[in-house]
Amino acid sequence: MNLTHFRFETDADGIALATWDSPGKSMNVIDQNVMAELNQIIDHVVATEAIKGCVITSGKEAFSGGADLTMLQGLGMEYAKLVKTKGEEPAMAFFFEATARLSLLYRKLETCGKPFAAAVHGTCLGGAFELALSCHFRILSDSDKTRVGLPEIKVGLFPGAGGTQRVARLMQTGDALQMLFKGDQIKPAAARSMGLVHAVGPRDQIVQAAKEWIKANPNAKAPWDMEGYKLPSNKVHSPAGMMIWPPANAIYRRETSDNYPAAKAILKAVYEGLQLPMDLALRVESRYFAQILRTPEAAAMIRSLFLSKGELEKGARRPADIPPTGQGLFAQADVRPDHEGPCQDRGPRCAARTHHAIGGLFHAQGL
Amino acid sequence: MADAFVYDHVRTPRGKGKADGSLHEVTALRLAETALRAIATRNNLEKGSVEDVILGCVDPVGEASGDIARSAAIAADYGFQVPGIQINRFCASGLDAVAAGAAQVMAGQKDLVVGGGVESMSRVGMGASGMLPAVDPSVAIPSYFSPQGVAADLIATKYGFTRDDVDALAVASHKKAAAAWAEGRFAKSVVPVKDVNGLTILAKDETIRPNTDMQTLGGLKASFAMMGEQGGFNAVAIQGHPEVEKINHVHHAGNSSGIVDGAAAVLVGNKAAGRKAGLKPRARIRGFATIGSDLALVLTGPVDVTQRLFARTGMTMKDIDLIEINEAFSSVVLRYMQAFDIDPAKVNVNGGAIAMGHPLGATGAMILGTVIDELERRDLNTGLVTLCVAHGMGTAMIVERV
Repeated sequence: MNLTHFRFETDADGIALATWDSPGKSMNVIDQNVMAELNQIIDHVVATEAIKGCVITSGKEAFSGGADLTMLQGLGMEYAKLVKTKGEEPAMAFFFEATARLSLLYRKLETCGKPFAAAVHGTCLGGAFELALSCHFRILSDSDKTRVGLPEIKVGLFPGAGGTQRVARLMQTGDALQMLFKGDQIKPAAARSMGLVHAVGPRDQIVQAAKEWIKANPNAKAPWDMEGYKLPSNKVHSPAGMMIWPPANAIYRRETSDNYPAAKAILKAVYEGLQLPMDLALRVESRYFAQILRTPEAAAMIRSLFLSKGELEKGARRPADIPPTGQGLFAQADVRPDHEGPCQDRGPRCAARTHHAIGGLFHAQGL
Repeated sequence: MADAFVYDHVRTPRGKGKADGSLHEVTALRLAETALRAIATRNNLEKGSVEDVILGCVDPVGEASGDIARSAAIAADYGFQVPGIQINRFCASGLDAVAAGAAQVMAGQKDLVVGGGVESMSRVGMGASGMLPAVDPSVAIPSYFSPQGVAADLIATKYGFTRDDVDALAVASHKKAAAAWAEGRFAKSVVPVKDVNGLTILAKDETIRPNTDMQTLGGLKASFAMMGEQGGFNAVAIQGHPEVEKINHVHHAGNSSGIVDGAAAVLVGNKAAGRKAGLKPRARIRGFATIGSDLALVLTGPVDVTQRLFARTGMTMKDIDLIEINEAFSSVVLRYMQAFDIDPAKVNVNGGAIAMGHPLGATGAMILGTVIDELERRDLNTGLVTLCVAHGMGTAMIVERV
């Protein structure tokens, strides 16, 4: 194997340890090179008879922040180019294949026939947590710094590498939807009690515990790939499902006014996916993922809330000569505390409220 | 185009749709068979002469599964030549079954058919066949889906009906139904459900409470407040109708249609088929229509479909002597009367589903029969029957005596 992002060693018991430690970076991020190396590792573990299984861990202070959003943005630009040169359908075929690749890679890991375990310390979010979810065993360090979660929804996306399907197969549907909608970063103890991970332990023992688990479970399979697996909330179309889905759809509308394509896609992917075996369920998820990635909502949210977040917070594009306007909240969001000058609103009372909300730095004027 | 005539109609009594209801021991098949057998026997229909049996059934699963219309025709000894088809347009299924049969008669493709419906809500259970429009996000979200009780409360709120308004309509329904039974107004059409030995199991509608008054109803708690709030449905309703600030929850078990068991059958044919069977037509089917209506209001289809039917037939509300509008919920009836400014004395004159119950798939055929009987009794000419339908639809039919 030719690896630069991972260190790979196999111990005397035949348990491999893949330590993710991308050179020259403070945080591991999933990009095309990392995916290619992970693919090599899976192939190598499967092909090498002496290797019983593999633990994946990180060599950094955090596990990983997930997928490189600029990579997704790059795929979007490639797609736009292809639409112009080759037409809509070939462009879409390329885009779907490219955006489903990570999900297929994780599914390959999950079904490779040998046990994989994730030993996680520090932040493990998004695509990185989806990697952990595709492993047969997940153990977290009990450190205060350890957090897992699927925050994609916060930038207008959703977990597109198996997250919606595996979470919905690990916990009650209502809880799964709530987790996917909120995108919270979850502490180790909570993750354990939610059923997202199998164990929590001291940082210096998680790799050893993962190895022990592999030794004890040489033929590991995901629960949903085992004979007789039952969904946590029974079938979708069942009396139990009638208690879950109608309010879930209503609450989606209540919370979003139906203006949040990614949240709606989560509902659809989980609803449809839970009625399918895993491989097809993942394909459905990938189809929605490719759709959502192309929405203007996702593009705008990735730009504003992730890529340009720093600039946004500095008020980089705010015209200097326009006074802050509107009912307090707008103005508060729009203005730096060191701004001086007038604030204006549609009448003296509103302007006074704006003035009050911001603080004492301005004088108010009605329009 | 041939005329389609109603030659006769029958219905079973409506039994309380719970385990302690009188018809709980009777299968859905036996209910449908009872209605089919009665209409064939009392009209001396020749075996094999009916060309189709079309039955509405909203939850066609379990003992109502596998095209219950064909099974019922066989059980009622119609002859193996008589096919059957089960249809479902939720609460209007029974009327749509009659309309489907009439349409084939009018088109000249059939001479004599039976339309009707059956529902054993005590045995099969409401919702037993599932509810896709509530469950799949791809349809539930654009549909503004909310449970019908919440939608009925939205209608009351939007159109200004108070708790007293909806309760008063319920009190009137019970009083009118009790009076109608006391005077024997249903006697012509209600056939008792009997056991295999000929012993009567039920001969009368069993959910009428003649002594219900405003005070009794006033003590009932609104049924859909918690569901509307916690399930997010109030927000959905308001997003569909943003001029409504807050849902006024006014409906409860006492001013909503009752859950009951029952079946009905309507004999429809062209002129020649009637003559051949030696039957006198009781009514001509003047026209019928169905429509999709506002999704968040769900239950205002009767207003829209009546407008469509008037446009189709060139009629107006002035031409209508009596109206049967299904009492799914009080606000549905109130909104209908408000929309057309109808004299309440013309509407549901013998009570409705709040008093006697709403066996989902059968009700449309039952209230069609009710209006024909009453037109005859009062010697009036034209009746209109309409029902609101889940997922925002409506069906209506106009009949006139001949």
